Amino acid sequence: MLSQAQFNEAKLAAINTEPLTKPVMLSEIKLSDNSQKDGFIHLNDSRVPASGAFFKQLASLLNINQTLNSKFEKNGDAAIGNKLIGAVKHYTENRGGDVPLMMVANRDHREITGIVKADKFARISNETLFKTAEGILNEVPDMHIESIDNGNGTSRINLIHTSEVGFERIGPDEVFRFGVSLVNSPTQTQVDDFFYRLVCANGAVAKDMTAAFQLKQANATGIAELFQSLKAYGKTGFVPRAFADRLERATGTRASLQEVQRAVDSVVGNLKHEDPEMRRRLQESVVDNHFPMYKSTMARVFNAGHNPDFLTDKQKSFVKTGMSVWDLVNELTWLGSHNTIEEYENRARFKAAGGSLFAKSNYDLEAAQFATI
Amino acid sequence: MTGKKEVQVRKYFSQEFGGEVPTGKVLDLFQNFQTHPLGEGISYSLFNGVIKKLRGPQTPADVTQTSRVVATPAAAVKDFELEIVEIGNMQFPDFKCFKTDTLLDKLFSDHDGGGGIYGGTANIVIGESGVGKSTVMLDVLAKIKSNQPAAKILYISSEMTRNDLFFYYSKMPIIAEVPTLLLMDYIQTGFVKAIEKALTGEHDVILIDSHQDIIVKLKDVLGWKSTYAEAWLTNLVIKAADGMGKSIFCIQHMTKGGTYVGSTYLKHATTSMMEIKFGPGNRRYLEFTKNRRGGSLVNKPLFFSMADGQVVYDQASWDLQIRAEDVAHTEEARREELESEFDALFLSATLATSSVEEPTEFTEENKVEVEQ
Repeated sequence: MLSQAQFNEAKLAAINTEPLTKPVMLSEIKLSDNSQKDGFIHLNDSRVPASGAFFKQLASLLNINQTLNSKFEKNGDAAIGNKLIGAVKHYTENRGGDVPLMMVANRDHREITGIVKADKFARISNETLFKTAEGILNEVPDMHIESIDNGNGTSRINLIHTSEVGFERIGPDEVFRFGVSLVNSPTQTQVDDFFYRLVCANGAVAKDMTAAFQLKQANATGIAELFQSLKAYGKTGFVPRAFADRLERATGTRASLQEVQRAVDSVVGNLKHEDPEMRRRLQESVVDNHFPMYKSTMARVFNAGHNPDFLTDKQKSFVKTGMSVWDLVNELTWLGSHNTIEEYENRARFKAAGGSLFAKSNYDLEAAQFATI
Repeated sequence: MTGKKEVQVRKYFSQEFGGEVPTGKVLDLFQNFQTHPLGEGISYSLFNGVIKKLRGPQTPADVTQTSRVVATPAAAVKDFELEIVEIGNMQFPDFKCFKTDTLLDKLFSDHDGGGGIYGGTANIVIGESGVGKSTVMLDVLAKIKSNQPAAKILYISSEMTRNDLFFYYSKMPIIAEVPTLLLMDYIQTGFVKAIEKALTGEHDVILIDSHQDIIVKLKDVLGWKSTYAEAWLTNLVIKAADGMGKSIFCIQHMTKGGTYVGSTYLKHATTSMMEIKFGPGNRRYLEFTKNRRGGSLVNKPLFFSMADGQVVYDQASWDLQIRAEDVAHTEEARREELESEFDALFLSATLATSSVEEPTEFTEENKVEVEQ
């Protein structure tokens, strides 16, 4: 739980890092031959720094194939990529596509970091996000702030209700607290489901579950819908409708090698240490402690005459591991919720990774038993 | 000059039918007339001529003559001075205000004193069939009566019969004291006079249910042309509202597609237009799409439901909506601030250096060589 002082501190930090925004027309953005390479654009006769992500989003807005664009960059042909963007942009502007856009900039890095169509920009300010959280705390008794994750231009406020909901039919340890996660990315405000497993104090954020809400427009109608949805969640105790069913499926389904490997890659890739050797050792230790079945499954695949490094994702999704999807979710959310000896770039992302895995519409091996019929 | 024989025919209708001509074929009426003592010596053509006069415009030719507004040539009009008065020096009536003591008062008017229904207004209530137009408006009348017992309210129903009203009353006992005029009682005789009397009588707040149905009856039963009937009724509503200070509500129909059924004349002449609709999850709501007495709350949905035999407005969702609007205003101001900061950071003169590479526009000649 966060104290009021911690909440205020996080609120101030989020307000101070609020992304800057500017509405522009596509035709107002001018590119030069080296725009992508040197990282800048021209806007109103000013040279404005722009990140690689900005150019990717601009290319995407112009329906330019991302793989092709990446290939240009990889092969040192950024100038061609730049020309392609310029040409398609020119064509689009002259064929009725000179649409209103919203630019997003990072004030600390002093560069433009993103661009979306103006009607897709559906975001309230961080100040309003925090005020909304305060409103929930005032209106819903026994609601608390579990944590606040600020970083990478995104603010996430995780609110949790103190009432405990048990799913003893699935297991004696399956007792949870539920809540919501108010999320502000640079261009989108949304409400994700948030749940907290008491036995291990793991918090998980799950997008795309039945209760999740995405702001459609940052006007009075959209904001009223946001408030209405929060009110509706409160009435149901913030328990997502399909939670019990999903929990049952997650506990009863083995995680595939593909699912485990994705989790392992996410964790070890996020681990940081200056000394490469030490970093390698810590990575091994994390895998041994949290994903013990990973190595044994890899060995099993090898013994069966296959090189696991050459298996496709699809092939890996057919390989059973010794842990359930629910075990895997818990390992991820545990790492996301607790301080460990290893340090991570962004520990909070494991809460979302665990939640996303849990909320996945179909687990890889959910129907595996039918393969034996 | 009215001839002796015409007086004889008029006397017959006055004695037998209270001055109105009953519906039916003229020939049948003439045959009955001939059996009456006053029928002696009167020809069919004279009888028919008097009927036409008594019934008002019936044939297309008659209607055209009476309903068409023919401008008098300017030269034929006696010269007169235009009366132009400064608004501040105009004479205004003492506007009455009627309150339901519900949230709806705020939507009716946003003037001082907590809103309410002002006298001197003509209002339209529209919505698709079954959405609750009559229910909401009967509830409004009942609540005015309960809140201000001295208020003279009237419900004019052209569609519902006594039996229909019984079932309404069963589900909404709150309407027990709503004075009601059933126009169906006058469909045979005195239909027009009943409408005129009701609208120009002593009542302050009058609900017409429905405007369109009265027009249909004037057309189908009395043989009026629909454009004439429409203009006649609308003029009467405007006279009652604007000329006599009454507050008139006309229920109008709407197609399933949401199109307003009725004349543009009525639509433009009225003070307000209230729409009742089905919202998300089939929740019903009302909103004003036009309101000369309450412009600040136009297009703001007010959800309602039925509870304990009356209409209950959803205060919580209304408050939520108002809060959302406040937040939206703050957000708009915040976005302007962020844009100013963007301009100051990126588009200020310090960043706009002339030594940097000029932007290039795409042209045919503007090619890039690909290294082999």
